[in-house]
Amino acid sequence: MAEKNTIEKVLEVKDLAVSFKTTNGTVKAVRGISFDLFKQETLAIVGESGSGKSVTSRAIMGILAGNSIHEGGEIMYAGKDIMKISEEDLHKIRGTKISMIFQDPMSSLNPIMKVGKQISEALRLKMGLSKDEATKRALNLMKEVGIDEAEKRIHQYPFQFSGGMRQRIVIAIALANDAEILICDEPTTALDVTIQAQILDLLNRLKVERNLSIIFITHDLGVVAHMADRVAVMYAGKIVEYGTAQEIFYDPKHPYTWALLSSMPDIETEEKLFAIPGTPPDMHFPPKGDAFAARNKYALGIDFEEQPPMFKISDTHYAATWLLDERAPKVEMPEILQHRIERMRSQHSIDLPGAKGGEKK
Amino acid sequence: MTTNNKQEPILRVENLRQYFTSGTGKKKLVVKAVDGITLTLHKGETLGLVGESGCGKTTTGRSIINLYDIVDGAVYFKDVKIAEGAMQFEKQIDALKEKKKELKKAVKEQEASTSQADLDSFMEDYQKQIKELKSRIRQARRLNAENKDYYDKIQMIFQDPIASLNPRMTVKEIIAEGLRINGERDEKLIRKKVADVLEIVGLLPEHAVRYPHEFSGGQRQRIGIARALIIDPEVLIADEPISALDVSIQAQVINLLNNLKDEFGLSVLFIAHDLSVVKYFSDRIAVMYFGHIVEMADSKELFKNPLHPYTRSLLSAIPVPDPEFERHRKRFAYHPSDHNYGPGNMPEFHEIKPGHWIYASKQEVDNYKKDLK
Repeated sequence: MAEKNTIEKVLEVKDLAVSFKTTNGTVKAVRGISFDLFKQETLAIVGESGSGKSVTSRAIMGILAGNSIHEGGEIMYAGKDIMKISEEDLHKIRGTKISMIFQDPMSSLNPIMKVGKQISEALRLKMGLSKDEATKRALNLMKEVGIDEAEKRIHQYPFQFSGGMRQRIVIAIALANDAEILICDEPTTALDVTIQAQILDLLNRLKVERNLSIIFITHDLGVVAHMADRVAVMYAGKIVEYGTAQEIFYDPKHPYTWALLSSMPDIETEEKLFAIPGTPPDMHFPPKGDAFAARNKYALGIDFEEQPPMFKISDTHYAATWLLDERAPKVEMPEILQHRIERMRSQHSIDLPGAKGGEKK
Repeated sequence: MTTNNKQEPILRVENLRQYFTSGTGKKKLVVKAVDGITLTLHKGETLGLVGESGCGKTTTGRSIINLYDIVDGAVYFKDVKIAEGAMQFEKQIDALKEKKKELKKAVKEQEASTSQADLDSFMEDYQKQIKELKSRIRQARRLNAENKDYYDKIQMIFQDPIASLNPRMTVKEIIAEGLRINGERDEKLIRKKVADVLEIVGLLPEHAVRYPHEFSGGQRQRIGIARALIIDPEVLIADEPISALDVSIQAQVINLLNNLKDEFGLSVLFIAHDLSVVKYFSDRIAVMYFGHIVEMADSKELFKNPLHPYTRSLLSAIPVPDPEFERHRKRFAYHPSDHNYGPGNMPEFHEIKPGHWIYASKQEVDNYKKDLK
């Protein structure tokens, strides 16, 4: 994936920090994260609730809640900082260049408006198309996202659609104005596995056909494996590990990534699961040092004192853990995960990152 | 995982049906949420029940613990019938009434084949049968009240740990409610039992005086488990106990349930839609689709030899945390219309191989047998 670097960068997030004012003090939701998004790639942001992944995506869309405070950093899109430009300029980007789809398709749709009108509304408002033209485009969009009998269904209301079909409508609306970046915030969490698979395949197809860049937010690592070119793992408002999908799944370095990967069984797992003890920290008072240290059995003394920097493992792979420091003791990932990675390696004949005899911590 | 050698059935569900109706007259709509399922839960075993939303898996669990009166079929706890539906008897009554009408009509129109004597002899029998059936219906309706004690041995854990705990009760009140309903008045004993059960699920005794909102999702689910455990159940029905929890917390709850299962020898009916979790947790798996169990087998067997096309499509859709595998996988789509069921070719529940059940027509069973490894 090294050639990705030469490919056009469409979005650049630098040191973004966002807080929220609440009655109990300030919640530090995002604490300085940086990542790039390249043309026609899917970047998955993984983390549990409260890790700041949704806040990041809302910041990119410019739809943060009113009590948010922009603590620092920038989001560069087409030479402009989204955090600084006026609402009017943002209006030109939001929905036309950068679009977003959400978890619950029912709440994104207007229940008393025909779906055809909801799709063409986006076209008429943003592109100034006439009613007939917009309806024609809406029909094509519905066909493109895989809705059968679009001519009939364009006159139906959201409640007449199943969950998967509703999500397809939402995708059609998001892409109505040929967006460049599509942010998907847990788009399949509310759907059944078989329907989920269909929506994921649709997104992958659209990515190639429309040259889309996708930011995919989820907590389901199986879905990440299916979708992502690159993965950013977030914990307590920070990116703790960042790399290509292969690097994250076959050669994870951060204890939190280990824990995430080994806490869920896959269909071959028989061992006792590796449960992460405790709960995520209260972000009113972010802990000093590594936020994961308190739940991390591999934590070193320094983890409680000082924030680990991003250690470089390869050109595309970074992780923020003191374990990668040259002075740190050598530790092995949980056994259950070692077994799983070994099994995956033996199943695929191609070279995977972090193979035996490769770089050591 | 425990072996099934004991094979001592603890809970048996026979031909369970649960219909929901709405509207009346022409607008009447009957939803057949559960349409005749049969399953057996053995002692110390975990049976996973999977299927998409709306397939009736939750309704099955709720019907078993009598949150709904069952429409038809029967539930047995250790060979004691604890619930029975009345639909079969009602149907028999309807059939009898129909026959009476026909006979009367025939006599009236003076058809050669029937005489007044036939009708008289039928009517004599008819009254007796109707009376008999009506008493069976009354019996069925009384059954679960009479067997209330057995329901203490079956407990349920719910999906949503926020909605299933009363926000105005303290944890102690929530957990002790089951004891109090069963007539326990000894405060000291209640306090001790609550503290014990809190410890078992990994909470502290001082948590007893707090309210549900003071806990995180995982802890709330532990409270729900503690409430189920306090009256020493033998069967636990876990309805999607982890799907509302965060990934890092899910493993904690799965491990806890696994420990409890071993420690107390619980039999668990585990309802979920996440197949990898069900595979990890269950000894046997039943796959449900639109109110029917379409396939039921040992969990290893089911993953090795999925026969029903719906099971196959479900297995092919599980997301696997392995990018290379995901890149090359193929998915199957399931089309219920492929079955081509009709008169003379109706599906039934067959045991295709010891312990491996499938819902299919005769013709399909022959085809599946060829696929069997």
